[in-house]
Amino acid sequence: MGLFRRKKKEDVHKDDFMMASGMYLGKADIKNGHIVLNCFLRALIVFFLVLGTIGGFLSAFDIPCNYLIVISVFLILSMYFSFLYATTRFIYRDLGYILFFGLFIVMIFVFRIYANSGFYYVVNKVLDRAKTFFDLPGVREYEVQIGNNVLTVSIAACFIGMVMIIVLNIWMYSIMSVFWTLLFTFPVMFIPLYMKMSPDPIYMVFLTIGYFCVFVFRANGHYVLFAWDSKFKVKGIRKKRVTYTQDAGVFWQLILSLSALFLVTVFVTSAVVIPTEFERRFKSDRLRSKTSDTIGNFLLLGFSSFFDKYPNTAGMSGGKLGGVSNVRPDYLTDLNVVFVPYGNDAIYLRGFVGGEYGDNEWTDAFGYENEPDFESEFNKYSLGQEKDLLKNDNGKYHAKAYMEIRNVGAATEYLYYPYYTEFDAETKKNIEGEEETLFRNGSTKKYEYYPKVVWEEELGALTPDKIDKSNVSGVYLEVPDKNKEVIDEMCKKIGLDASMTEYEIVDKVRTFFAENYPYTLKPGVTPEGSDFVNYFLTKNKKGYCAHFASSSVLIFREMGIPARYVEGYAFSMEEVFTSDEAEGLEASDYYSGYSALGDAPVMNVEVSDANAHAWVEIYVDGFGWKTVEMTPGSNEETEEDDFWSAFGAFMQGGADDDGGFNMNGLNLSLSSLSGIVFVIIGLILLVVLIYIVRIIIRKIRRYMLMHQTNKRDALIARYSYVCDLLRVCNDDFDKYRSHRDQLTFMKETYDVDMDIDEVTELIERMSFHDDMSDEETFNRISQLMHVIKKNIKKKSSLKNRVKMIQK
Amino acid sequence: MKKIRNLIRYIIVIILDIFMMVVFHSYLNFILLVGLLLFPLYSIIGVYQARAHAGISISAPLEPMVRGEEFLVNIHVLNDSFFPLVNVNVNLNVSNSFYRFTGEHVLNIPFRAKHKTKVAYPITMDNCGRFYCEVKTLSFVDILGIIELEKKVDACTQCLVIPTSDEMNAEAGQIYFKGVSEAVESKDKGFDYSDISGIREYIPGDKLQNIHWKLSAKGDDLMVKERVNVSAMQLNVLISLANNEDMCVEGVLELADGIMKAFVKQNMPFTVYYYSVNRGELVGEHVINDIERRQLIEMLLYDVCHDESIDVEDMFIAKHQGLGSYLYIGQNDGSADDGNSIVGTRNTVAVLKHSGHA
Repeated sequence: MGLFRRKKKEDVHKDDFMMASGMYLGKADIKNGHIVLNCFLRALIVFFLVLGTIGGFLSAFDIPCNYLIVISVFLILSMYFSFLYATTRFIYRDLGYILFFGLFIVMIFVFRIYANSGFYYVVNKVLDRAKTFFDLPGVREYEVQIGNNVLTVSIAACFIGMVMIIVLNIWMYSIMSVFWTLLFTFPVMFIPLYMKMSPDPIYMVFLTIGYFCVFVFRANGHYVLFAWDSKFKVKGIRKKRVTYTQDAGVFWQLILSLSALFLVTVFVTSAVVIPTEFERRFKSDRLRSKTSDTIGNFLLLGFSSFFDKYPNTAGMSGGKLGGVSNVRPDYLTDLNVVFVPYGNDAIYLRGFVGGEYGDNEWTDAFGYENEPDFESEFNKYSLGQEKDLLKNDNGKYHAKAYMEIRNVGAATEYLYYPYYTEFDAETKKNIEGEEETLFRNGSTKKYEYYPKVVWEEELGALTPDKIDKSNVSGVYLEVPDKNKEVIDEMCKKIGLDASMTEYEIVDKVRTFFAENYPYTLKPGVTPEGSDFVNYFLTKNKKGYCAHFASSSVLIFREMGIPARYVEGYAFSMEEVFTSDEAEGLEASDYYSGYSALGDAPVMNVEVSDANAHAWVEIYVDGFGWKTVEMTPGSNEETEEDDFWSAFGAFMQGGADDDGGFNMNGLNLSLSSLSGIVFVIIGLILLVVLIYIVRIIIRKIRRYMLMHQTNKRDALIARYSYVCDLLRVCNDDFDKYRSHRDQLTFMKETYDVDMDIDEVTELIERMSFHDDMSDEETFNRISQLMHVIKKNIKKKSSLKNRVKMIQK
Repeated sequence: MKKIRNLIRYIIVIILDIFMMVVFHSYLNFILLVGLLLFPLYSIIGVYQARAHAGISISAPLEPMVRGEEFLVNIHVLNDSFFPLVNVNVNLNVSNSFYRFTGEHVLNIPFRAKHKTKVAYPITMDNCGRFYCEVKTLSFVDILGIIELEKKVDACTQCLVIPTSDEMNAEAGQIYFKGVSEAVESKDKGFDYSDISGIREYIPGDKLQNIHWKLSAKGDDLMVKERVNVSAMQLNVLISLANNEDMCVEGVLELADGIMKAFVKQNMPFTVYYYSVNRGELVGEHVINDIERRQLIEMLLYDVCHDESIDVEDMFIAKHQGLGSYLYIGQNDGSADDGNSIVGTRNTVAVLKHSGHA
């Protein structure tokens, strides 16, 4: 009977577009060029992008390569993968991919040594350039097995190009994504560009034409191409657009016109602005200098250089060394210091004193003096003898002072006190009690101390061998065996000898460091197994205060000067003078005696974690322990430590110091925006994540409901799922209240072949009576629901399909 | 929305390029920046040029097409500029003027430089009528996809779609003779002769033989002679073009066409009356051959069907009371008997009726 059944009206015009009532449009026709030409043009874009990227990279590093082989392989592969879409069925395309992957495996097996050698050769070349550019102490060199570099690099380039072609080709034919294309190709160029290597212009022209083509087709559409596509498609929610699928002619003309436009741009721009002149417009290269340490560390140490072994904000490290890659101060107040300034020297607040060095750590010096009781041990440790000397000095430089220190946010396990403090009994008791917390946040301590305003010239004027060390623990002269060799060499290199006085040695070492070892907050972590001091002195050759202080201590000890490592807070007089006066406090209550500054007011200094510091104490004959500063001045402006800040500063005219590249007009402050942007992006990602998790949970629940052992409930869940999908697509579905109405709607709208009466009866029976013992009925209705679900999805718009995912 | 998205995407690319240029001091990015700034200029100039040099023509078959038969409407869009565009939108309005069915949609085509894009539109009409297609505007999207320009054009085409019908020679002949024997002949006018009662402007569907060629040659418009046409031996046929939800007028046209074909084949002259919505009155046309029959069908289709509130029978009886029998073709009200009627599709019927004597 079915053979003679007349087609229904809607069947006759099933594939037609109804332009008006009773008026149908069949398959519109246009001469849009052969599919092969279309595929060829698309292959050209992929070819341009891949050749531009790989050719640009190789040419930038002057890496020799047989471009005839590379271009031929890229072109053939681009064509091959593109023409897979010119086949008339999906299966042929899939077979084409499978065939190629088989071939790929064979080729990679046959040419693996060539490919490896080529790849290693390229890596070696890049690292070699990096070594010069980043001034790295040494980089790993990979062994190249085959000496014919031109051939091996060409083969390696072909293999890398293959992967790029496959991925780009899929994107070209499905999403034509500007973002992914850029992400997949341009980052490769970052490496030469960062190291000031310029790719050959011809590859840049290829790359740029490729980008423009991707952009234009993404913006205009008509890039999805399959051989089985009709020439026109009806689109739009209300099907109001008859739109062509693709056209080789316009594609071809666009590629030509874009190529012409860009070639003209390149030639004209090159003639007007010469590359060397362009570079000269940038008077400073602060952004590179800000990031070069991090990148250099990465090249040297790999990803481990990015990870800190303990918190990397500034502040006390308690003698732990080498675990921080980048120090990032938070600039929040750690201490509040109220005192009267008395001289121009920086104020040091002792927190931690390191005695013995080993395993990249200074151990607490307390207890090294081997004194019989706590009182005398603590007295020595806390410079009680020096304090007594100053306290009892009745000379004209005698001074007595008080300092109030409030712990706002500093580590609580340390006391922070000025040099030559007289401790009260309560504090000593606390320390003796070995409590973890010595200085609670929010608490204030007031110290009586005796500042040494003037240092006599004879102090430190002895050679180390003449210093009376009888009063000093031997620990302060120890140099671990594994550092000995390096330290000896350093002493020679610096030019130290036994005839020099203490001060001369200190000065020499300080000058040496200042001239040869730059200060940076981003030195990178010390590699696993390396010694902190040795690594700093011989390889990394850059660092922050802990590096300089630790190394200096060992050098001084090696030279016979008792020395120890100290951590705490230090602030300059400049910071003091820019602070507020402490109102209502009398200077006479805080200071009496000689002052190099005359009558100074009581100052209230806010000390942040950026003031956390490490320095050295040396023992000088005739007095005792005194501080020496070994850290060279920083060229880094801490406000611009992060990349965005630096970039923001640059955009605000950082490069314009000499009338150079002026971007003041833009008035961009990315530094201030970056935080907000990151927070916003973070929030958005969080919302998206929550959303996705919710959908997944819902899906899992739904799946469990639909596959539960109780068949009746499982079937109800399936029916309810179909209804939910229908609600997404049809606003008025809810007006169908009965099962019969709902099923009739499904049948009519989604062309489902079913007997309404029978299915209605089954569903009602299942809904209202617990009757679902029949496996066959269950399977039938499940199958029916599956078909309806498929038809709903098939007939839904993209927007509705997205909404359905949430169901 | 898409345009804004494209613009934002482009701005992001420019910002990224500036960023890289600043970070790397990269000359490559500088050239790219120049390209990125020039490209919108090229794109905008391109779209303006393409618009200025664009033209469109549409054509449909001159001969009437049969209902359900596919015919091609050719849309030719010319780009005489050197700038290609990926998206040009042809805003099409289509209609069936007989039913007053209208629809509009956008035809999206590529726009190659120095090229005429030809699109063949295969159209099928399920209903008779006059297919009318017009393009009032073309819109041009630049290759960056950020601006869209419109151009006013005036291109249109039309094609008549006529009913398909079987000739009903036997039934029609029988009815004809019954109807004619009872017809009242005019005593004032001669057999097969018509008097000219006036001159008027040509209306599509008018017979060619009625064109007043001499008068037409003097002016710009075609003029036709209006005739008072009364045949000595003829049947009066009243066609009701009243339509309903079931599209019964399709059945009426099909039935009328079949009967008229049979009359013409058997050399039976007849006069057809119908209510013209365009003229607002009952119109009568005398038909003696196949050319006139086709012209009459075309005249009907150039007109507009009306709703059921207009009763053509009443009008006819009021106007032509003395004409005696007439063949009514219209919706079947159930009053027809087997001997005097022919049943058509969609519940339509041709039935012999009496207008009554004066």
